[in-house]
Order: sequence, then C-alpha cells, then structure tokens
Amino acid sequence: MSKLFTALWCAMGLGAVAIPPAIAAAPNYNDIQTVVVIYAENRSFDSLFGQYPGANGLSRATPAQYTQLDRNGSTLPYLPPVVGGVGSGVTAGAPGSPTSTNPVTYPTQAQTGTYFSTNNINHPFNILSLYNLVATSPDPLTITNRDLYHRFYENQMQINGGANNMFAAVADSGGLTMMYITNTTADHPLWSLAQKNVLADNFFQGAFGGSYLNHQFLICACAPIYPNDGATPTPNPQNPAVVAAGGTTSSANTPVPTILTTPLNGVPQLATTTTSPASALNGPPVFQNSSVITPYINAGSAFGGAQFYSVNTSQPPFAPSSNYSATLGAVNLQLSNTVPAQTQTTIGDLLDAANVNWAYYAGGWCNQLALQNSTANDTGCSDPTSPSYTTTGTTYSNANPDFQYHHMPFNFYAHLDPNAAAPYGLAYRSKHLRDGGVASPTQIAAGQLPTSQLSTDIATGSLPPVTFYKPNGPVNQHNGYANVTDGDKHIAAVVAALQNSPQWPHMLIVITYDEFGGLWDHVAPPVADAFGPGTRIPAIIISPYAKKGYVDHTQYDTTSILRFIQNKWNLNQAAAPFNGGLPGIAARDALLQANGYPAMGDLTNALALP
Amino acid sequence: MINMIRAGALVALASAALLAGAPASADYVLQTATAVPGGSGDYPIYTDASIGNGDGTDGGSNFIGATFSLTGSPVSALQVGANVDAYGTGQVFAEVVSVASLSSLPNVTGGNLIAWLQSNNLGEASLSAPAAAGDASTVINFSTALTSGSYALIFGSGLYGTTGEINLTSGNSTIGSPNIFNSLGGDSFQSYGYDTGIRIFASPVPLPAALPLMASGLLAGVGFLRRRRAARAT
Repeated sequence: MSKLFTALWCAMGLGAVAIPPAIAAAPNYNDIQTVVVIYAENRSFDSLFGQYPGANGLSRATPAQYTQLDRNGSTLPYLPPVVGGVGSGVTAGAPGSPTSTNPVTYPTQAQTGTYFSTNNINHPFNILSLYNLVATSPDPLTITNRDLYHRFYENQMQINGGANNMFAAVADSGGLTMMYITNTTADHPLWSLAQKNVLADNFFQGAFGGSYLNHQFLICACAPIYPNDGATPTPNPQNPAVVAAGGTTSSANTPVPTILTTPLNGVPQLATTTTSPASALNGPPVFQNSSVITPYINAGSAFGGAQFYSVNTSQPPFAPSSNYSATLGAVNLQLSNTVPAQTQTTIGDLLDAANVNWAYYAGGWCNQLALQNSTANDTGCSDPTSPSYTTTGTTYSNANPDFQYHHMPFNFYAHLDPNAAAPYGLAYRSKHLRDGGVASPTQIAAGQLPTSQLSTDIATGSLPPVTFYKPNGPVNQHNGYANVTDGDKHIAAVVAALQNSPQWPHMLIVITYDEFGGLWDHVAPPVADAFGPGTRIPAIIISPYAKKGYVDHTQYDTTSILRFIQNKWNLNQAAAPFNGGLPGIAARDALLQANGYPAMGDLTNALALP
Repeated sequence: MINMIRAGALVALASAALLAGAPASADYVLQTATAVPGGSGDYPIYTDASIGNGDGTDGGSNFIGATFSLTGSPVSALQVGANVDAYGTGQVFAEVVSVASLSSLPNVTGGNLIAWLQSNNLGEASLSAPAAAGDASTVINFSTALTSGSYALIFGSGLYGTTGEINLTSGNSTIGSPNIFNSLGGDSFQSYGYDTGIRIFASPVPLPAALPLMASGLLAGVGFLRRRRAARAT
C-alpha cells in the first residue's frame, strides 16, 4: 500500500504540506477607543437590502418563507389589498411628514386593492410597482409611504415560529408588509457606505415589536417593568401636583394588560374579537386588547417573571414626554401609558462604574426640552431657544423638532431624573443626554449637519467613548413620516463628519435600525427568550478596522452592540458592581445555546483587529 | 481497512481533481489559504454602478487579488480560482497583470482602474459561480507565456463580458503572509493584509505530456482497490 500511496501522491502532485490551522486570538479591543451607534428606524433587512450583493437576501428566500398564509392557515390566493392605500394617513406636506416636495400621488385603496389579485401576487414585491400605478418613474427611496404597525405580540404572530408566513395576515396594512425597495445610487448613500465597509446580514432586532422596546434593549437588554400588586398593575404613583389639587389614585389610570388566548405552536396569540375578519383579504385583525403592557408574566419565566412588562410604545416619566402637562409643569404620572421610573441596570450604569464616559445624543432634544420644560432646561441646552436654522414651514422647525419621546430610552430611568439625588440629578443628566440638533431640508440635501453638541463634539474629538446618536423624525426613515433617502443622506453626513474627527483612527461606527417597521423578512430569528430577538434588520459596521467590502453572516442582534461595549471595557466581570454585566445578555445567550443556536456575536467578526 | 479507505479517498480525490481541473498542491504558485468550511462572511465580487469607480463612467466593481511569483520555465496556462460560497450568479473574470515585486500592489496609472486593467491584461478567463460552496476555478491561457517574475491575479466583474457575482469566503486558514489587495470604488488598489482568510490560488496547467502519467496513476489506484476487494472477498 505504502508504495502505491507514494506513487499516487507523487503522480498527482498531492505532496501538500499540512498547514496547521491558525489559532484564533482574542480580538484586540484596544484598537477601538470610541464606539458610535447610529440608530435609524423601521426597515427590515429584505425590504431595504434584500438585493445587496453577497447577502442573504430576497433571492435566497424560499417559497415557504415568503408565501403568506391566511388566518386559518390556508395559503392566501394573493396578498390582501393595502388597507387605506399606500399613502393612508400621510398627507404630503403635512406637519411631521417631510414629503412636501414629494412629486408622487399615493396609490389609493381601490388601486392597490386590485393590484395583487389582478397580478396574482403572493410574494415580495417592488413598491415601485404600486407607485407606477399613479406616477411615472418615481423613486421609492424618496417617497414616504404609510406606516405599518409593528407591535410586540403582532410581530411574534407574524414571525410565526420562524416561518415568517403571517406578516400579511397579522397586519394593519394588508400586503404592503411584503414590499421592498430597490437601490438607487444617488438616493441611497448607506448602500454605498455598506459596500465599502461591512454589511451584517444576520443581525436581528433585539426585541419583538416596535421602537419603544428596542430602544430599551439598545441600552439595557431588558424590558421595562410595570409595577404590580400581585397579578394586577399598581396604579401609577400620585403626581404631587395632582395630590395638591385634591386628585386621587385611580385604577383607571393604569394600563389594562394585553389579552392573549391559547398559544399556537408555542407562539403567543392575541385574542380577537367576534367581529374580527376571518380572512386577511377582508381586513386587518381586530384584537380584544393589544396593550402597552403584557399580561401578568408568571414567576420562573424569562427575565424573572412575576411581573408586568412594558412592551409597546409608552411615555417617559420625565420631560420631554408626550404626557407632559403644561398645567402641571411636569409629566402627568397618572396617565396609563406613563411608565414609572425604571431602576434596572443600564449600560450607562456599568460604564459609570468603570469610569467610562457615555452620551446619548438625540436630534431635537434641546428644542423639545425648551418646548416642555422651559424653566428647567438641561444645562447642556444653554440656549435652546436660539435655533440652528430658521424656516417658515411647519414641517421642520425648532418649534416642531419632530422628536420622538420613546426614542430617548434613558429618560425612562430614575438615574436620569433631573431631580434625583447626587451623584445623579440635572448635572448627571446633562452630561449624558445631549443634543443632536435639527437638520433643515437644505442641510439634509447638502449633506450638512446642523450645529449642535453632536457636531461640536465630533469636530473637536470630544465624543464620549460610548456614543449613541438618534436622528429625529424627518431623518430617521420611519414609515409614515419619513422616507429613506433623507435619513440616508443625513446619516452619511454624520459618518463623513466622524471620519474627519480626531477620534476616527480608533472608532467603530454601527449604523442599524431599531426594528422592522412592520416589513417582512425571510430569515427565521433565532429562538431565545420571551422578548426576542425579532425580525432581521440591516446593520452597517464602519471603522478603520472594518473588513472592507465584507458581508458578515455572524448571528447578531441589537444587544451585540452592548456585548462589544461590555467586552471592550470589561463590564461583564464577575466582581460587583458589574456582577457579570447586563443580566439580559447572559440570559439570552444561555437560552440561545439551550435551543441549539450560537451565542450572539459581539461584532468583532466584522473587524480585523490585529 | 483504513488503508483501503485512504486509497479510495485518494482515487476519488484524484478523479475529482482531473474532472474539475483543481490544481495540485505542490504545483501552486499562489495559495493564500487552505479552505476551512463555515466561515462567518464573504467578500462579494460583483459589478454595480452604485459603488462608483473613481472615474464615474465605467460602473463599479469590487476587485480582489493577490500577488505571486514565477520562476523556471515559462507558463502558458494557469489554473486559477478562489474559495466561494454557493450563492453567486453568472460569471466573473480572473485576470493576470504584472507587478513590480511579490510585496507590491498593481500600480494603476492613468486614474482609471477599468482602463488600466484592460490595457495591462496579460490574460484573462471567465469564472462561473458554482452551484455549491467550495473552490471554483478556471484556466487562463496566455498568448505570450509568462516568464519568471512577479504577477497579480485579480478577480472582478464587469469586464470581458462578465456581469456576474461570486462571494469569496472569509475565515480560511492562512498560509504564510499572502499579499492580498482590493479596490472598492477607487482607481487604485489597497493592501488587504489584515484579513488573509480569503483563499485565492493559481497553479500552472500541466503540459499535455504529463496527463498520461496522471491517468496511469489513477488506473493503478483503481486496480489496487479491485485487488484488495477481491482478496477480502475470498
């Protein structure tokens, strides 16, 4: 044998010298000194990057992954009409909508109603085809279409255990959930940025549902807790001003818990009313109560249990808040969707403990503070009434900065209470919650940043080592009030400024989306805990150390950002006060692995750290 | 039994090598890494006007390549390829150009990478995206044989009739310190030394005179197996 083996070996020239596999060394986190997270809004991966070269996009989706089912489990003959039309609820030029220059008339209910049935469509479709019904060569990236709901239990029902075949059936927008947008170079600078850096194509939103809970997962890997008295929510704490005026505590001021029915294949199911349409072709489902809080979660379930969790859009207890009362001069704590101040550990707390500075910059922050809290502005907003630009329109203005209260997750925490005792209080709050400015339409189009704390800190190299930036409404890409291209251009301008910052040589930029925005994606999320992860979203990783032109298939979710921060600054050390890092991260990884999935990555696979 | 399995595997490997035209290890003039399945990402090679290419007119592409040296007899044909995933489409091209040294990058002049690639092309071939993940290869025939010197093998799309896409896998086991480079939307090449998990390879195509020897080796292997099986059966 040996002679023949040798002869064959030589004849075939297979005398390869065995090369030992490279030993994977721990990433050198020291090369990254500043982490900047830019958090956009409401786009699933397939809907925005589904045709990206090399990515797990639309071409890899199987019929089983995109063919949508009706509510009884049968295959829909075609997608349901877009309820109300593509532009329902959005009027071009209306306050809050940056569509005043939008040249397209939205397709109506009647037009979209016949489109899917006439063309026998039960699969992802290019939104351009709907716009083409009423316009010539529109660019969907520049158009603001109607919003699609994106809620905690609805998202789980849409995912349907990973089949992703109930998106149209559990939607308020009919077949619109299956839309995707094609790339158009000039209007999609994030696409080009991804091409020159890293696109992560296996990155999931940290929690099911919408912006509120996913912003919490961005900073805490946790769901806010609604206080309970046994199995009933505790009435909101009395507002001192209300008490002074003779007001009383009332259970009417507490949220009514969500009503669920029997789970289907392990997926929680919202209970429908008797009048809810049986078929998705006849209209959106009607639920008995899809609330801002969960039903009572029994002890022993994910993240502890014996709690109500606040999972859908709710309001912070501190200004700025939608429940701010000018009469009270404070947030009305008695309203049912005001969340009592939270005390769970956030990444801010851990960074404080490690003496690492951090900040959350939000577009329109100072302007909104000025509108609600003019007598006690945060010190970082020393001159909030001096606009960075002026406009006569109602859409973009310092009087209407289009700031979203639930997009500022730290404002839900007791440590950020402006009246908290030392070492917290106003100075602490002003140090960490900063202004990102309000970009004017001219600035957006020109790729310029408004003058703000953010732009100043970028230019002077003064960004904290951990920096979050939340664009305000017109530039955050949320369906219903924003298009893609304005956000793209604004975020690309932020990136360009960051790349000119003195901090750039050791910077990591993560651009991602808070959640899917009600839009379908074909990849089954890994199965972990009761809160997520949810649908797949795009993520772009930019750094001098990024693998250029790379598509990263590593399994990530929103909390992967926290993993990187924890690993770099050793925040997950066992010793107090760190106690192993954020509990939600360890809990999620343990459940992922118990279910046969890998733990979530920490983004280092996207980097080439020597 | 173990020997028999090994011999069988060897014969299968040899047969596959002949059929697929995969290069023989000892003949590699370029091999940046050995294949390690299951990497965590890819470097797509594609053409896309949106990436831009400096000149703004030729469309864009993501070009990746590596340098190699030749010594000895002139080479009239090279078997070239890369380890790719299963999701490519159509065809890309593989091209060889001259470089100053093994450690240098292709020196693009004239400010137009597309034009430079075409005018400095020593030989190219189309490479089809495979149906399954693994090594994909093609043969470049040179009208003028390559003599001793330093060269670069470059993959791209959008030239020579190719418009497809292949995705070079990452996470392979690096051999030595390969000089890998790329171009993303610019008119020059940059060093890609910090991620050497890309597998790119090239080997001279055997002269026709060598083929009978390879075939005889295969036949010998088959004969050996038959004898062993016959012996065990009795």
